[in-house]
Amino acid sequence: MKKILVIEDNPMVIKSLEFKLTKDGNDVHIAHDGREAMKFLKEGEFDLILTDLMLPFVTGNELISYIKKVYPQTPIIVLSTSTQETIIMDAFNMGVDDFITKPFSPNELSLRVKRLLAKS
Amino acid sequence: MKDVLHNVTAYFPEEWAWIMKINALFILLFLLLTIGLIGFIIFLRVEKNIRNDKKQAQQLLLIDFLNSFLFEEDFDKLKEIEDFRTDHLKTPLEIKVTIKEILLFHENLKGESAIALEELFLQLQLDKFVLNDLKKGNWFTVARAIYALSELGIEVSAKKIEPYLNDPKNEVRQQSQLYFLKVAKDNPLQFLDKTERPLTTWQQIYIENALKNFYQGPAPDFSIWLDHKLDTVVEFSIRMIARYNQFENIPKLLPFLKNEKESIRKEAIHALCSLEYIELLNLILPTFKQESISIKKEILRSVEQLGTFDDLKEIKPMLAAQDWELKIKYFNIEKYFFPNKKDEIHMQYLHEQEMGL
Amino acid sequence: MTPILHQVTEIASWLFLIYGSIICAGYIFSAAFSLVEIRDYKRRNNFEDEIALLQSLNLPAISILAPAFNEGLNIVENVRSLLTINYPSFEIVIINDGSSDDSLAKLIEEYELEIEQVLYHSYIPTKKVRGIYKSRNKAFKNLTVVDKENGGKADALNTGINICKNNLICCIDVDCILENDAMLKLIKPFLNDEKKVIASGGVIRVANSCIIEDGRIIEVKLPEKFIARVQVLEYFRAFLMGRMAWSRVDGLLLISGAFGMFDKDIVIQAGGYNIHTVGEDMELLVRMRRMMRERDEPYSVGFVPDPLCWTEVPQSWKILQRQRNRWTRGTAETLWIHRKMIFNAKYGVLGILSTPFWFFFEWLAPLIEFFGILFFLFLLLFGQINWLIFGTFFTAVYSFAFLFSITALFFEEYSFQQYKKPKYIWRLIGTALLEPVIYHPVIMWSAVMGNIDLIRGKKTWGAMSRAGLTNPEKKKA
Repeated sequence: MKKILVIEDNPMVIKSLEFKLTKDGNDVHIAHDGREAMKFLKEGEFDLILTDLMLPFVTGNELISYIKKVYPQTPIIVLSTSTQETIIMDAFNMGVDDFITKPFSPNELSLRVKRLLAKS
Repeated sequence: MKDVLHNVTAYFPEEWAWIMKINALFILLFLLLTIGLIGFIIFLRVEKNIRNDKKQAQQLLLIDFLNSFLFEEDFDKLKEIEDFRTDHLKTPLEIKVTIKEILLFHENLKGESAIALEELFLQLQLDKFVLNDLKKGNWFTVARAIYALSELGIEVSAKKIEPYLNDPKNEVRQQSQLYFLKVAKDNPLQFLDKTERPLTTWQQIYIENALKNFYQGPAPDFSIWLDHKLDTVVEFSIRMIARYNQFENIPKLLPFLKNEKESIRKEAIHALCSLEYIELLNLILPTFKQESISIKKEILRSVEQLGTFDDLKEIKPMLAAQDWELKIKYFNIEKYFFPNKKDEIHMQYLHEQEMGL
Repeated sequence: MTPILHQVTEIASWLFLIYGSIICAGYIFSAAFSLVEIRDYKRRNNFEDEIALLQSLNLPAISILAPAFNEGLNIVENVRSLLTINYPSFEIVIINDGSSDDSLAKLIEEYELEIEQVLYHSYIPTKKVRGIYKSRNKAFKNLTVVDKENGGKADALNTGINICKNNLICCIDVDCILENDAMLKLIKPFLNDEKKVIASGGVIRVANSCIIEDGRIIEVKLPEKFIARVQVLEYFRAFLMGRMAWSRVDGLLLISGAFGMFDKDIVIQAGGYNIHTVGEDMELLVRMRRMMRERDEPYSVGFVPDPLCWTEVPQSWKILQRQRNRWTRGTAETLWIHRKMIFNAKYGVLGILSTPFWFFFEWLAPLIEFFGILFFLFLLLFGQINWLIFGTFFTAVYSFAFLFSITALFFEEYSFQQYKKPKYIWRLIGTALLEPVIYHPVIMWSAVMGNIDLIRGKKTWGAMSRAGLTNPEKKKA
């Protein structure tokens, strides 16, 4: 069972992600904002992290830079409403592994998660 | 009214001065109003609380229902949908909340799940209510109904929506624009032909977003609207030609560099620069001096994107001493061209600033 | 009663009645206009609530300017919460206005700042800039910290205006708490109006006693202290009945200094914030509107009726008095600077309605009230009070004041309903009952003192120095 951290503030998206990823056989943990995410990250490692960019308390960018510093091997997927090139490029420059834009397809997301988990 | 006043004042003691009677009257009036308002406040509060409780219950129900519907394979769809429709879609509030929640889910999802939600919406016969709203005539109900239709791709006769394209209310216009765009299989911007009021920036942003994220068909040839009678539509089309990399339309953009409207000239320079049209600088540098500040800024930006230091130097003598904004831009571009000489360039700027050059 | 005194009482009664009626009429009008505006707001909101605000696309970049003076205690957290603003493209410019504490050092350490050479021009003259800092860490790339010599809030904002990059600026108090979508909502008027929009503002709410975590409101609570609770009522009246109505007739004179968005070019053309007044927020908007009017350019000022910003209000009488004293001076100074506009039809609604209203009801009302009390004392001294008349007068005024607060409370209930618990209503009604006798006299006295200070200070107009900035009297969270 793989441990996945989902960092997201939209309750609807959380519900769907939790439902889908749990059904895929993962151990899903939810952080509703940047601060809660930090708490999770300080407590232990995850096999994969799925994060939004715009979060309460701590921005997605700051989280990513922290994750890259502490757990450089953990794959990160960004799930964001941004379709702006610069934002996507910034994210990849900071070392994220995948960028999925909202609205998203849960099936596609589940495949991408599986692929990244298989790689690591 | 007079009688009432008379009757009331009759109760006041005879010996009271006129001013006291007036005061007493006012006190009574204020008191009555106050009590009435407090009653009304409490009524509103109680009503809203009950409403919120019901709303929450329905929302919780829906989150479960929708997630099971979308992701659980052994979910008996036909039966569950029928049950939900008969049990939980009885009051207007339940219907309203359900429509809203389905739209919220739909907004965040695409692909199979999104299509499944669209089908669910029809199976729950919610379209009936939306079409009803459309007939009501209040601008906000109409706008909401059009939004729901377009979001879920439910097509109705175009005649029903067309009049709203030129509605006095901004929001209604915007929703009907997006409706036509989202339900279109091809030619998504056809509604522009029937648009008579200027597009606001806000509307343009939403149209572009819908084009990129909702519309599935082939990209339209934006040059069709370059001779539209509204300047805002022309500006929008010029911008889209660049965003969609329609290089074949470059020749059609060139005349706009000489357009009399500043905002159109600016848009044209910006677009040709994004399309990396190499001749652009030769066309715009000679007229730099006669241009307005905002066009000058745009020209400088083009030099940064397409030009060399030589092009930049050409501009230097044409910068007026007081044009600080342009000068800063100029030096910043110079820094960008020579990242190693940042300090020198900075000193040069400070020097010029000091000398008032 | 001697005939003369009787006549004096009669005349005073009449004057009092006329003035009172005018005020009542003004209030009734503003209530009516507000009601229309709130109804419109509700309809719009009813609809917009369901439509996702677009996040990602080509929204124009905003520069958020936040002056800071000795905010070392909370500055790191405040900046962090500013960085999480829900908006696709913005820069944050913190202007350290010569703090004597460790604000700058804390920022440098936490956000990995280093001096960067930034080209800028002082369109508006300001105190000297010591350095401009940016972060080495990409995660904070939209943060700029400007370190400058102390010059007051207006001067700090002007420095930010000179240095910031974007054409839309949002001026805020560094410690105010913003709603999630505040920027998206505040920018909408700029993008969705066919006329040129020069400024927009939102509704400000009282944050005292609310549960706040890392710069977010977790739960809205009614302030525990009476003094803060009265200010909740005051803010209801000011925003729901005042500014709503003014915005309806396009006569808005004030966008609160704690939170407002402006077109930078217009601000610069108008000359930036006035460093010689304590009412710099009001003065700027009046000056911008006046300039546009004199140039004969069509424009508009946006007002977003949503509560977008929460702020701590003074919790001690002393600090409250100081604040109100300053507001009075700010109002008087602004009216004095722009006295040409008062009753001048050339300035449209501003000349005919807004400025006269401010003159008579904001500035003059406390003075008239004060003289009324003096007159009362004079009569008392000579034992010439007709207690029955006095009693009815007093009760009439009192019941009107109470009715007015209840109306504001009703508007709040009808529109936003931020205070969800029923017991809050009872407490607010109780507060409204006590306000006219406990709170109001203090406010009136502060306004009178403000005028006295103004007259005294006028001799040294040029040397008006102010050390503090961003409401030094604010309670530290």
